[in-house]
Amino acid sequence: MPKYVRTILLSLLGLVIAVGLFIPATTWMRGQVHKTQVVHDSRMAPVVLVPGSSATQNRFNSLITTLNQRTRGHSLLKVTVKTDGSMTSSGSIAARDNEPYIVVAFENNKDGYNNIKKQARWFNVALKKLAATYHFNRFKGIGHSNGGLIWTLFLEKYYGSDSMTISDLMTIGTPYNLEESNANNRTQMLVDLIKGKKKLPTSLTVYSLAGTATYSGDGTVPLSSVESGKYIFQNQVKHYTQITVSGDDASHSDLPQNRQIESYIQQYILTNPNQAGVHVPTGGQERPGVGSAPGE
Amino acid sequence: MKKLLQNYFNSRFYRVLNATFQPLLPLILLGTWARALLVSVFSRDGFFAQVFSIKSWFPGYTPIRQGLTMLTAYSLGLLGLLTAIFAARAIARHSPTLAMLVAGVGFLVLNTTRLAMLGPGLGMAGLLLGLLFGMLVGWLLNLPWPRFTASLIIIVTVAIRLGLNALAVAEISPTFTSVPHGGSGVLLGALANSVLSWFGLTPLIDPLSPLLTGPTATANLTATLAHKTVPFLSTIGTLYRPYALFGGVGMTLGLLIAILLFDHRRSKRQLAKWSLVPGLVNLNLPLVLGYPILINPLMLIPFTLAPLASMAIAWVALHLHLMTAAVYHVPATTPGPMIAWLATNGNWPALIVAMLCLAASVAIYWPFVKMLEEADWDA
Repeated sequence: MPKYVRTILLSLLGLVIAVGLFIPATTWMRGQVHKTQVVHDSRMAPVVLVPGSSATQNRFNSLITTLNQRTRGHSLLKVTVKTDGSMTSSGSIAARDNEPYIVVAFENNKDGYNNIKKQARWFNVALKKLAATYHFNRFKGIGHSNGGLIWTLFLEKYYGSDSMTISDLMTIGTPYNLEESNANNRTQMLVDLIKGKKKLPTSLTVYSLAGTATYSGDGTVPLSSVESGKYIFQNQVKHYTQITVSGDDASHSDLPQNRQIESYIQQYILTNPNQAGVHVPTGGQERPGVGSAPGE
Repeated sequence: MKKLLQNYFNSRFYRVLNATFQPLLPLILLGTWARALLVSVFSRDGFFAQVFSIKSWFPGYTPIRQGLTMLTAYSLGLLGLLTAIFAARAIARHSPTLAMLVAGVGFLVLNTTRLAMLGPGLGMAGLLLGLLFGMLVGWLLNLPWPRFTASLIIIVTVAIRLGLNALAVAEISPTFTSVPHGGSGVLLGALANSVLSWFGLTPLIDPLSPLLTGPTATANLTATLAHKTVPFLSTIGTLYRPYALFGGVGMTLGLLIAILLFDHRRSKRQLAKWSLVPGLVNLNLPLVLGYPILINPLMLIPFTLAPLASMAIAWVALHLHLMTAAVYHVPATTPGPMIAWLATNGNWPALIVAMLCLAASVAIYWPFVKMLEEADWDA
């Protein structure tokens, strides 16, 4: 065998061995790093809910009461952020509860793009404080109506994955194009949100739920305004799903009480619907043993 | 320069060194291969054991493991003793058999302390002392009345042993426990490591000790997991282990490649080929003793320079933020050039820098390999 043939054969053999080691080793390493990350991540990953305009911290009481009848072991903390960034709260996170609900509402809960911007800033302050107080670095988000806009603005402007991770976001009847029913007329807010879309985390899964009381919308928000969310999320986040519900309780303000939407939350947002060993303080409701929203 | 080298090659010391280790090479190779297999495939923390989860499917895992442990223990585990015996034989002119006997028995006497920590060690840790002791014994037996001297040596070793025992009771035990973990300590650590290995002593940072332990490594890992910037950029764990320890202390994978590319001496090429597999899992004993690097003044230069140059390259790349820091734990037996890639969780620049370090170390070893080859042929 000529010398150069031998050299080529040996180099090929070396290459095959190198690749044969490289690929399984890399796969193995990814698994190891994932395991290390899991150990490091906080066990608690709350579901953070943001209500729409004109709504208080009690906006989700009925939703959570119903959810707690279907599931087990999720406590509720409600906070209201004042205009100076300070917070008042009611309810509490139960011991050993790894998936509590935290509702963040605002003292200034008025509508309008300028107010929503301010609310996003307050939300950032509140979430940081909550994360430091309750020691979590992962969470999921639910936003009703303008609450979804606050979430989106927060994710584009304030969220940096350097200290926390959001895995899922569900917006319910969120008017991404405000009250505009013609998708071609983009409001300033939509233009801004699309401009900042590159800042959205690429690991995020987004569900955008729309209600339909009529064929064109939920009575308050036009369907096309909700659907405009695709211009923001599509081709940027990991998954973007648009769901339209109809039937009973499908009008805008009834959406948080809609049975189907409750099922979607249970199915898509809750990781561990039935948590064992958590004692949720009961708020004096009619069914004993079922957790409910305090102050309901 | 060439004259100096030839003088060294013709020196008594070099001949003794060669006469000591050349006959031991087959055993050293066997032991190193067994050890390489043992620590990389048949150990829980081994690279291949982890990546291919060998233990769960390999038939006869336990008996093979026991066999390899024995092979290692009765070859490399006796290296200090064998070095003493063969060094004595290489020096003794008139009565080599008597010298071997005395050196062997004497070294055993010195080593069978109640606290083995105080003896020089029968294995690799006793390499340098075995060499010196064997040479001393051989030299003493070259003097008149060798039979009388032989008895005297044994008696003296027993006396020394008694002294050692007394020391052991007083609990004076020299240990290197504090390994520098940051700043210029990293440079000193790397330098000391090469020099110690060159002398045949146990290095401060054993290439087979677990990677990334200690407070700085923990801080770096925690920061990375929290998606924060790494607090300690220049440590043993971020510079020395992933970029300057390919093939073992002294970046000897570079030497291996340099020999295979540029050295035309048949015996050295043979040695390099046989050292390739252990070299991949960072074991370089056959190369250190067989090439030889051990107490070879010329080889000390690339043996310290190659790791330092590699660390410098990695330092620059790290401080220019061209690559991420190595923070994740990988097995110590991971093939050298892959450590950085894996410990950064697949950072391409890190892999490229590792390859650059390997190329640099080959380039550093190359002129020395050439010089040794020429001097050897003319000698």
